[in-house]
Parts: sequence; structure tokens; C-alpha cells
Amino acid sequence: MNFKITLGVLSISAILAITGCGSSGGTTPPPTGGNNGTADLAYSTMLSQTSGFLNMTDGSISQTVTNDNGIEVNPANGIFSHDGFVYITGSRADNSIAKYSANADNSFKLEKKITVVESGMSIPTSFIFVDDTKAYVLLAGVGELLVMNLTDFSISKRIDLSDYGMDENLKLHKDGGSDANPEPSGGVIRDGKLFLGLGQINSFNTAAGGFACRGKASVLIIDVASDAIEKHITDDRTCGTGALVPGGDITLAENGDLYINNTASFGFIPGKKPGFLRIKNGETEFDPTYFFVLGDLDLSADFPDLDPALAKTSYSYLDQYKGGKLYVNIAISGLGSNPPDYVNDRNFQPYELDLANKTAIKLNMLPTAGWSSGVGMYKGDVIYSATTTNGTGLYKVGEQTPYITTEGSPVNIAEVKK
Amino acid sequence: MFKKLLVLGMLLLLTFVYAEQTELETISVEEEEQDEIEKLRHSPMPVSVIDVTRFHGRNISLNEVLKRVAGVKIKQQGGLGSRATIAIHGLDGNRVKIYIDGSPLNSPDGTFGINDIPIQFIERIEVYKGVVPAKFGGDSTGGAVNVVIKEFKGNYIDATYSVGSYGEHRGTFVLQKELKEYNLELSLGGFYNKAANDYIMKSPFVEDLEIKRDHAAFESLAVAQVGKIKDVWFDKISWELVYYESEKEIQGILSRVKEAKNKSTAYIAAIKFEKDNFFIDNLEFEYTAAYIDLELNHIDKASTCYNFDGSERKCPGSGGGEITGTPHDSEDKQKDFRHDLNLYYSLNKNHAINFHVNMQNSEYAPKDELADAYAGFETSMYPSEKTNTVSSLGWESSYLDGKLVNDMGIKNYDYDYKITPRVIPGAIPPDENHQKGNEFGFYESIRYEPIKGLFIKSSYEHALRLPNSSEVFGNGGFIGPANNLAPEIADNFNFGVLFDSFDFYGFSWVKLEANFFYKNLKDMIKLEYGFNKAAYVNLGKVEVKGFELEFNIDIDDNWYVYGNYTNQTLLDKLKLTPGTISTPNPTYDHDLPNVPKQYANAGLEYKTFNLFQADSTLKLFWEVNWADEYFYGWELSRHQSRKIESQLTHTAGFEYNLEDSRYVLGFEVRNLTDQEITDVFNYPLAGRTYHFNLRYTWF
Repeated sequence: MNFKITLGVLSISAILAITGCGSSGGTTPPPTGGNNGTADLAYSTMLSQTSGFLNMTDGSISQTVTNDNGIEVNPANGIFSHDGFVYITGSRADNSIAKYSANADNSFKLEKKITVVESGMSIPTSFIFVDDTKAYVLLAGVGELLVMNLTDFSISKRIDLSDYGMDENLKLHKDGGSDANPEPSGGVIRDGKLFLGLGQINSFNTAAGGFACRGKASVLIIDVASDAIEKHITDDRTCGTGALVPGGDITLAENGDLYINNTASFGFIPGKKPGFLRIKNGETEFDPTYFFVLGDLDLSADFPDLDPALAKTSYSYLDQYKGGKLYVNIAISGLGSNPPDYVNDRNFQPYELDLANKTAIKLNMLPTAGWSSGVGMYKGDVIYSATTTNGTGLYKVGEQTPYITTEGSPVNIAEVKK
Repeated sequence: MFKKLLVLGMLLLLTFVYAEQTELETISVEEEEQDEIEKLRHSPMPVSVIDVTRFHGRNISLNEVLKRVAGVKIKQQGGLGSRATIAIHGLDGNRVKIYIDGSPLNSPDGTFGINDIPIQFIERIEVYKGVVPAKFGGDSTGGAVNVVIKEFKGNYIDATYSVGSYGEHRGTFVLQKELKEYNLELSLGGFYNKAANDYIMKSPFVEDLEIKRDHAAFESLAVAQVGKIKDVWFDKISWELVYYESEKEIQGILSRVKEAKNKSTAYIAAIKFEKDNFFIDNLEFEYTAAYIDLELNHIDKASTCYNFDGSERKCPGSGGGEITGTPHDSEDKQKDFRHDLNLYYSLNKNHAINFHVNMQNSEYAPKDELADAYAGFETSMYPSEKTNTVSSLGWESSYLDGKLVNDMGIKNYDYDYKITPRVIPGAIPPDENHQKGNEFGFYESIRYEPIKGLFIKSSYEHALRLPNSSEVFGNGGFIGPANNLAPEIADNFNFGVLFDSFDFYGFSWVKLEANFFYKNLKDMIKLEYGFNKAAYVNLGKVEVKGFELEFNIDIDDNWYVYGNYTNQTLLDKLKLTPGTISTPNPTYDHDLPNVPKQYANAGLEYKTFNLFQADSTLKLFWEVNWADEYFYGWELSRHQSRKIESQLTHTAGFEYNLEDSRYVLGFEVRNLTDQEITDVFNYPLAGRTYHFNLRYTWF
């Protein structure tokens, strides 16, 4: 899933890869970056709410893998990769971020771990890589953007986003509003600018189980060279921009258009619809002609056994872009229970969204559970991490059984370049 | 709280004034109590009985006493008042049923816990490790703890004050007057607990950060009026009117918390009727009705939040609140009605039948207007109602002049609960969630005494545990209700050998015991998490097996020594990954995490009499607790790191009784070697602590 947000630097990676191959004279290239092993896919598993493992495997082989060589992590931790290193965000589990390299036996070596704040729920969610030496880390819990020096894995700058917090009266903090945290929630780099989604929620943990967002979608535009905030744009058609977990936020299409996911409190707030907004190539404003509302889709033909009123979705959360299509899991109302059954409910159905044409095609895959519903990319192919009735593991698009069966429910995945 | 302290102080003062004005009347119940303890030890059921009078001179909590028992482990997150669970053979939480004088304690999280009860009010503790007696109407899969409150007889005064490290203060009083002309006994009693719990601990999350626990204070107060009237057709009618309140600050570990806290208030009224030869000869009748009115408050509305170094940090939300970002000021109300009927009919001296019915009806109404206003929708929801009824019919019989004793019976478990659902935009329109069910269980226990003092015991129970209120209702917040919860089921088998003899080869008392246990649990009720919410579900199958060895020896009048060792294995027996058709469960046959496999306790006591003064006793004691290391998560990797280290702690102290125990002074040091100890991962406990106790008794 982190590959989407690194699209902006894929060309650099590709050049490096090509250069590496060229200089090897046809022999196996020496390991570069942080990956000294033979495996190239990092994934995390969940054995219980607090018990999980981070593992490496060869993502090209159909196999059953174990946690035997893994390190213990909290399943909530986010996984990202750049230049062969694996980066972990504490997410809602703790206030740390960490950098790992891979040993020859595909085990992990901790390079460095940093506590980003001493106290409070900082919720470090995502890494956004600028190049081999610089990355941004989003602290959704405290409304900060860290500028990281990847070379020595240190914090080189903290960007305070308090000014852009929006309160219940839709007033920004810099204008006297009461909310000092805009909840940075994912982003992507285009043309040297970081488009940073702002969740603008009122809480990370409402009793009803949703994040209640303020009344506007919100994006900050930051100059990557200077780290200066250049512009703040909002749109009152929806709210809850981006994702408060790694992945599922802003998509950069090949033509340069940006598609911004808004979860709108997962449908809990009457009057606000989840869906995608667009910022067209070259623009820095939302496209007023475009709003892809997932709730407006008629999915009854996809679920003939369900009451048509329940063959609906309200939101998608995690996604992966490829070739003009966005691969997502969308929550189908009729597939879940009320109150929810967190063990047996399989209500997240893989779909392929055509963002430009606002259409959705149900993929011939089984639905998964919300807590095991990742999407990522491996060597140009989209893969899903899922726990379906057919098993726990990594699924190729259109397949109903996992090609890699994991020990425990897979959560996050990231390709680790060699 | 100051006013309450004042009231308590006045009551204590009255206690002493009263002592000067009342005639001395002594009724010793010690022998009667010892007989009861011995009878329980020799019963067919696997039970440990702790004579708590041994600890009455000490500043020690009930949990501290329980953790000395073979097969029992206490998991505590902090000091006095902090969350603690009792595990018997590794099974903890709601699986272990807690009774007070045979009445089930139904305490939602954050309310009254048995650790609140001052040790001086307790006569004995019975720890049932397998079959739970029919007379408790027990629905328990992991055993039970019955706390038997001391029955004060005649005119009586008892006052205790204890003080310990980290601001621990505990006070108790009992004042009882017998009005013989009316066959009436009236008592007033109560306790007050307070602890700052402000020890310094290492942050489990930030290297080299030491956290002073400055928001872990606990305070609780209870006042009870108890009365007994005898020979008014019923042999005895007794009643209790209890007021209880507690306030518990929430100590942050990952984040500093300065204001958030939980409060609870309970009003309890209970009446009990007892009569022998109830309409027919040899039929004993007991009936108890109780009403409990609980209110729980979670308060988290700080507008300024802080770091551990005192500097300000951003609060997670804009409406106040330090923990989740949603401000809370909840008023969750629960009303419980309980009925408990016991009929015991002795057919003859060798056979008796026991019939027991326990019914509990609970109504739950969560409310949090502050959170609702902030979130923009009703956050609590789900007013609910639940009725659990457990009926049991048991047959006790003895043969071969009492050498062979058998106890068998059946239990019926009936449950009925309704949860008012909520409406979620776009979700399934809610139905009336009405869950009903009726199940049967049964038990058989047998004891044989081939030679005097040697007992061979065996028991089996097919037991059920009905979901309790907090599991069905949730907590009105993060934990949602569960409308499809079924009972948890266990098959428990125990086999034991007990040697129990007084005056054995020169020793005053020798008790040697070995117990083997095997339990098979299925449909375990567990908390499962969704993306941003949790609920209880039936999930999991666990096999428990192990053994425990124990000895207690009164070497002579001066020396007493005890020790026990428990070895237990809890294996996950769920073959398939939940929610899948055929995917093997990766933790199948693995040890359950967060449970020690081995632990042991030992202690030595020395008593000397009339040392400085006539009618005085000085007792010196030394105790040691050990637990092997264990993993916090599932052990699946060779690089596993998160584990709770092996722990060895020592306690030493003395107790000095003067004037035939009218005055008792006690002092002890726990964790003598100042070890870093943890019962629950990420919740370090205090190091070395000092505890002092002063007790005055008059009867």
C-alpha cells in the first residue's frame, strides 16, 4: 500500500534499479540499500489484538509461510519500505518509528528506533518518501509532520500543522478555532508538492466506533524543497480526508490527477457522504465537477442474495492504484452484523474502481474482515492481504485462495526492493 | 472526601467510647471455625481453605493473601485499587466466580472489587479449583473464590488502621450491640481505603524515561448497617444496608493523564431468611433477596493536557479529554435484583439433598451526554436487560462410616437478555435482539479416606458460565454489546491426594497435598476487537493440565512452615482459524500467552509467647514468591522478545499481639530486595514497600 504514495519517486527507484543492473555486467547485483536477504516482501500478521509479527518472504513464490523468522510487532503498526529498508510506524500502538534492514537470512536487524513524542497519542501513521535521504512522517495524533533524515534516521524538522485544525464551527485554529489538530492522514507528492490529506476529525475513538469528522474535506499543499505550507484547500461536499491508518488516502493517476478519498466518518454522520474528490493535473483546487460517491452505487446485481437496500456501501478505506484503476475493499452493509461480529463478519469486498468514470466492478474474490483488508503492490501486481473463509494470506487479484498462506491474519504488506 | 473522613473518624471515636460503656462478653468462635475449615478441606471437592485470621494482624490485602495459594495467581496493574484479576490454574477474569458469603459478586469493571474488603472482616477464603458447590448456584468454568465474612457475635468492637508506602491508608471499624431481650444484634461497620500509588516506574515505551505515577490515586469508602433478629418463626432474619463509593484516577503509561478518573457508587439492600425444620423436619431453608443500584462514571474532560515532564501537549480532541479525544462524563446505571434460595434436606445422617436457585436480573442504562454532544450522535446506546437463573439439585451421601463421601448433582442454566439495538446509517436495520437459552450441567465428586488422615479425592464437572452483565452490555463506550453470546462450557477433572493430620510424629499439624487437574474449555467468552470498537464473542478452545504440590506444617507451637508449587500448561485447542473453512489455526497446541507455566510460594513463621509482657505473642515471618518467565504474545518466532521476566520476591515482617490480641501491631516489608516486578505486561509494579498496621479489638 505504501507503493502508491511513493509513485512520485518510483521513477528514481527505477533509474537506480536499471543503473544497478547495468553495472553488474550480467551477474547477480550486490545487495543495495537495506535488504541483504533473498526475500523481497514484508508483511505483518495478527495473532491477537496485541500480538503480531513482521516477516519477510519471497513474494514471487506460492507458499505457506510462518512467523518463525519474524519479529514481534503490534498488528496496528504500519509497514513501509524504501531503498531496501523497512520502516515501521507505531500507529495507535505506540509513539515510535523504526528503521530495519534485512539480514542475509531474511531476518530483521533494527537500525534505529525513535520515540517521536514522549507522551500522548501521536499516532505516527505513514512515511511519505521524497528520496533516499528525506521522508515525511505523519503524526495524526498531534497534528505534526516530521521531516526525516533517512541517512541517520533522525528528525530534521517538525512542521506544526496546528493552524489548520478545524473545529465544530468549521473555524480554523489560526482564525481562533478550538481544534489545534487537523489530523494529517496520508498524502502524495506531485510536481514537487506534497498534497497532505487532513482528516479533521473530532476524536480518534468515539464510542460508536467511528471518527466524527468536521464538515469539510481538507488538503494542505506543501513545497517539498522548502517544507513550506503553501496552500490549504477545503471542500464542503464531504469530510474525513485520508486514512488514519497506513494506506488509503490520495491517489496519483498517470495523467497527474489526484483522487482524494474521504471516509466521512464511515457514514455515521447524517448528511455527509464518503467518496472521492479530485484535484486535476496542474491544479491546486478541488475539481467542483467531480465527486464519486460510493454510496450512490447500485451494487444489488453484485449481491443478488441481499436485500437491495443492504447491497450498498458507504466507504472504502485501504486501496492500491494501478493502471487507471483503484483496487479497494469496500464495506458492504448487508454482509455485516449489527451489533458487529468481529470474528465472523466478512463484509469487506474487493472491488476495482474506475475513478475517472465513477464505476465499480466487483472482483471475483471473497470478502474479508475489516481488520485484515490490506492492499498493496508487488512487482507491478496488486495483491490483497485478507482473511477470507478460504484462508489467511496474500491474494492475487481475481483469485479466491491465497497464493501465500500466512500464519495468522495478514495486515500490512510492503515490497522491499533488493 | 474530607467530610467522609471526618464522619469515619467520629465513628471510630464512638467505637472507643462505646468500648468503655459496654459489658465484656466473650464468645469464642475459633473452634467452630476451625472445624468448618477442616470439614471443607476434607470435602470431595478440590478446595483450598485459607484461615484468614492468621493475617488479621497484618496490613495486607485480600489479593496478597490469595497469591500465596497453590494454583492461584493474581495479575495486578498497580497498587491498591488498581485493576486486578484472579487466575486459578491460569484461567482468569470472569471465569473465576467471586462470591461473598455465597452470594455472587457482580461487579462491572471499575466498581467494587474483593480487594476492597479489609482482611480483618474476613474469616476465611475458600478457593474452589474445580467443582463449584451446588449451594452457590455456581456458573463458573475456572473455579470460584468464596470470601466468608467474619460473623461477629455478641457485643463487639474492632478497629484497625493501616499505613503503607506510597500513601496507602486503610481504616476499618465494626461496632456491634446485642439486645438479648429482643433477640436482636445490630452492627455498624465500614472501611476506608486510600492510596496514592505514586511510585516511580520505568516507561515501557520510552527508553530511560522514569514516570512518577502521580495520577494513580484510589479512594473507597463503605458503610454498612447489618442486623440480625432470631426466633421470629424464622430462626434468623438478617439484613444489610450498604453504601459504597470509590474514586480511581487513571494512570497514563503511554501518555500522561492528569485528570481523567472513574467513579462508582453503589447502594445495596439485602435480606436473608433462615429456618431449620422448614415445615417438615430436617429441611433447612435459606432465602436471600438483594437489590443493588450501581452508578459508574467515566470522567475525562480536561481541557489542557500534559507531558510527563510537565510541559503542555496537545489534547487528542478539541472538546476536552486526555485519553481518547472524546470528552466523557458518563452516568451508566445498573440495577440488579437477586434471589437466592437454598433448601437442604437431610434424609438421614448419611444422605442429604440440596436444591438451590440463584436468579439475577440486571438492567443497564448507559448515558454520556457530553460525549454525545461532542460526537454529534448518541454514543452510548444499547440500554439492555439480562436475567440469568442457575438452579441446581445435589445429592450428598456418605458410606463406610463416613470414609467414603460422594457429592453429585445437576445444574440448569437459563439465560435471557435483550439489547436495544442502534441504527447505523446504511447498516442492517436492527431487529429486537433477544437471546434466550437453557442448558444443563452436572458434577460428581468423591472422596475416600482409606486410613485416618489420608484422603483421595476425585471430581468431574460439566460446567457452564453464563455471560455476565459487562460482557453482554459492553461498557457504553469502546466495548459494544454482544447479542449472540452463548454460555462458556468447561469439562473439569481433578484428582488429588491429601494427608492431613494433627500431632503427627511430633509435629503439631501436617498437611501434604498433591492435585492434578485437567480442564477443557470451549466457546470461551473473549473480547475481540474490530477496527475501532470491541465486543465479547464466543471464541476459543483451551486445554488446561497440570499439577500442584503443597505442604503446611505446624512444627510445634512456635514454628510454622508452608510451601507450594504449581505447574500448569494452557494450550490453544482451536484447530481452525476463526471465520475460515479449513485454515489451520497457527496457535493450535501452543501455550496461551501471558500465563506463567510455573510458580511457587513458601513461607516460614516463628512465634514466641510472653516475650516482653504476659499474654503477648510475637510472630516473625518470611515469605517468598516466585514465577517463571512467560511470553506476552504467542510464541511463534525464534526472535521473540516481549516476555515477562522470572520474578522472585521476598516479604518479611512481624506481628505483635498484646493482651490476648486486644492490641495488635504489625509491620512488614514487601519485595525486600527491591526487584523490578510486573504481573501484567507494560504495567510495572512498585519496588520495595513498607506496611504498618495497628488493630484494636474488644469483645
